[in-house]
Amino acid sequence: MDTLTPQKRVIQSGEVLLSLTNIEKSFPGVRALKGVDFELRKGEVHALVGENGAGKSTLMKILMGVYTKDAGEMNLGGQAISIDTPEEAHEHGIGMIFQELSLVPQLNVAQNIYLGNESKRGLGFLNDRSMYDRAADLMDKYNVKGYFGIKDRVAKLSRGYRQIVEVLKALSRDTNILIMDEPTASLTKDEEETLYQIIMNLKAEGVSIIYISHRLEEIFKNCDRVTVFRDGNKVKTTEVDAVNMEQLIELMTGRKLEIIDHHHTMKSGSSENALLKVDNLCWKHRLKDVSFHLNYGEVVGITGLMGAGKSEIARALFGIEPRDSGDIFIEGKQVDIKNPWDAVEAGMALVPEDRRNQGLVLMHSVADNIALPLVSDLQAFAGWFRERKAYNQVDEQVSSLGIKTPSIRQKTKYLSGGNQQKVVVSKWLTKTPKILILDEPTVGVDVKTKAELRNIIRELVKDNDRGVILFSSELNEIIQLSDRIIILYRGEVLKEYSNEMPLPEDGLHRAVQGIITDRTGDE
Amino acid sequence: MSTANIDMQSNKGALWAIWNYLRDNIAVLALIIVVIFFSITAGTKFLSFQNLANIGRQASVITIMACGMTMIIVSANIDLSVAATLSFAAMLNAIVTQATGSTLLGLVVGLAAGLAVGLVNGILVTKGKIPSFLATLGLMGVVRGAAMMVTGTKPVVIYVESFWRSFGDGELFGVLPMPIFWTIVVLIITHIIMRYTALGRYIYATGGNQEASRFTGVKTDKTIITAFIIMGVLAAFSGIILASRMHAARPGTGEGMELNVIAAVILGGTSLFGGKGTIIGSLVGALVIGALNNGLIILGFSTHVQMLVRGLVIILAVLFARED
Repeated sequence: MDTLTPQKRVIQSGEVLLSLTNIEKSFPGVRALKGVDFELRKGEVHALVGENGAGKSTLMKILMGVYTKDAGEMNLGGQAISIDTPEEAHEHGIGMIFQELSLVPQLNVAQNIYLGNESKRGLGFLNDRSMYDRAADLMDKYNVKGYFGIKDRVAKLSRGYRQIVEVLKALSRDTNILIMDEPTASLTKDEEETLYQIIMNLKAEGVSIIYISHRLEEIFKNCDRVTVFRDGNKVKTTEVDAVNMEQLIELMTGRKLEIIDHHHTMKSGSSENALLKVDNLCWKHRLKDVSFHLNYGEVVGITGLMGAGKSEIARALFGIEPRDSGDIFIEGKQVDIKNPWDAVEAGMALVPEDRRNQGLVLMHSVADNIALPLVSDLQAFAGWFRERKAYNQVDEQVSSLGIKTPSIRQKTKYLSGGNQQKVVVSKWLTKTPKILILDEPTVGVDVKTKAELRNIIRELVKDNDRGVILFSSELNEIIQLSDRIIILYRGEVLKEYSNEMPLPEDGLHRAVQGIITDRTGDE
Repeated sequence: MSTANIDMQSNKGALWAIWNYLRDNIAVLALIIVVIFFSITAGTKFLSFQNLANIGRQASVITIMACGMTMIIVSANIDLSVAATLSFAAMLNAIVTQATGSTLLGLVVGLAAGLAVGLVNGILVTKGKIPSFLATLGLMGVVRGAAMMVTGTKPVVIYVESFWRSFGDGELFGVLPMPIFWTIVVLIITHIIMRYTALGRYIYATGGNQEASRFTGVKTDKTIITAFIIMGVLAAFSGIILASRMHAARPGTGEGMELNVIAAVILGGTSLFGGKGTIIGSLVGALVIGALNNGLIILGFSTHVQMLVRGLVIILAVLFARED
């Protein structure tokens, strides 16, 4: 072995290709990675699993040069390497397929594959023939011919095929480590099968794949080994064959979760006198006959994997996307919600998933953001806005929610994520809405503010004068806060639990995966 | 708006605070420099009351349109059709005023023309989902063409004394030129709208983040359409003032003036990306451009030099303005 020159040592299939040791990374208020080890063999499909915030995305971003590690070592093919920029990651043959695809729809398949890496004749002229030849060879090599032609415009391809183009793009740059982050989240069943096939082809060609997914089923189908992350630590790496789904879920969640007792008196699950009733909500192929109800004083938690339909329900309810069919009743009266102001008029409020782009006007002050929904209420003669009155309410909100800001005139872009989220929540509280829709309200928020936000959510319903619909992919959050829990799977309501007894969290985990084995919540 | 740098004041003193104020309000600095420069080089020819009133009269048309343009740009849009609207409305106004002898009727028809153009712009941008740059570029051609077609490119001369005196020619109480009086009225009204009314709030919010505003229940389409209507009406009003001052309307009037208006607004600190800007800022921006043109003429420079200097001033000002 030692006779080989160090830089050209050929790694055989099954040998360790990449090893990360003792990687640490902290963000303000969070230790995202607490000394993590990870090892990838040549030609294996290696799954990364863990709950949100467990550290898997952070580790991948370090590997891709998006973040810089605080401490630790990286070793590729027996050599220590450092990666500080995405370009360096590419040079080392590491590529990542992002959830938001990075293709240019107006260009064709080959043009996309070689974007920024075109074949040239000199003087900047393109050599189209060479580019098309190379694209054809590439599709040949990984056996993906027949799905689409190299000159098809990407705009015309389905999401699944676009994903394949994205994979080819990564492979065209001599990628030998490919990271896939939730690659099947928005794919149909058929498209999924195609993707699995391609993963097999890549493996046969000696490409190593790091596969991040919340759908454990997929991992058992496609992966060789799995590494489990929890709270910034690596819990275990094991052959997939050596574990079953139950064990994997136990590894992910660790201890049984202590359910913090909020002393909430349980509301009956009946739909008599419901505050909100939703019947057979349909939207494109992404929501199928979703029905549920919300009572006064109740928090209904709706959860499911990415792509299960959580945000879609929120958007359809609030009139952001026109629903295809479905009836919405508020206090027994049917309402027709066609746009967000219909929803606001009907007494609803939405804390959207993406607070920076959908929740806040970042360049405006805390006061102006919180006061915005009040503008329509606080008008005097000729549309005169009663600013002083609005700002008094802003002051109240800022102190009652404990928003940390030097002044209410501070621009919201300078606030921390948690405080920004409090601003989004508080802007609705001035209007006292009957129905509060919270979409992933604690994502990207530090631990302390997370706890505060959760307390605020329970506080909201304690007077029985409103209800909260909580969309979250964090099961412990759902369990901790909800009176009832609705599990979505692929756009349908799979199961509804009443949160009367401490629920076994792994039972919920199974349900989220689309597998119902326990009978606890059945009516 | 510039309260964020108060903490800097304590250790660097008052000069530092003034410095930061000027970088935040670059148009004020530009105005000071321009006024000092021409006072030295042109002396009393520039600083005389007579000439300052002239600057005011000349700047009034741009200032009035800059008020509307501030709303448009704060809402994260642009309107390239304003100069065309100005001459189209002026033509209709002149024809009706001359034919009927009624100042009021002419005013109403002229303003209605501006309102119509604004409405079409607003609907194309919101309901038609055409970027405002393109929608208003298209309408700029349509409206300019229509202005030419009304009389077959011939100017319309107006012999109605009450019309001259109401907008362009006369003086209020014998001192205040009417164009300046009307400019002040428009400044006050638009400042109130932007600063103190619900519509103003919606314009800032929509321009700052249209998606978040929509998610908050703001009727963003209605807000943008309203801003375009106000812009159209103010462009028309500018055209009427100009026609009144000239005693005639010409279909080619004001060609290229939209760029001066946009320059005044940007110089005044309004962000081209929307969400930020004030009427007062745009006023100062318009005065800079007005004083610059006037001073260069007094010094005997040609229009070419005026264009060149104006362009340089805009570039320097934007370069020098403090990043937020």
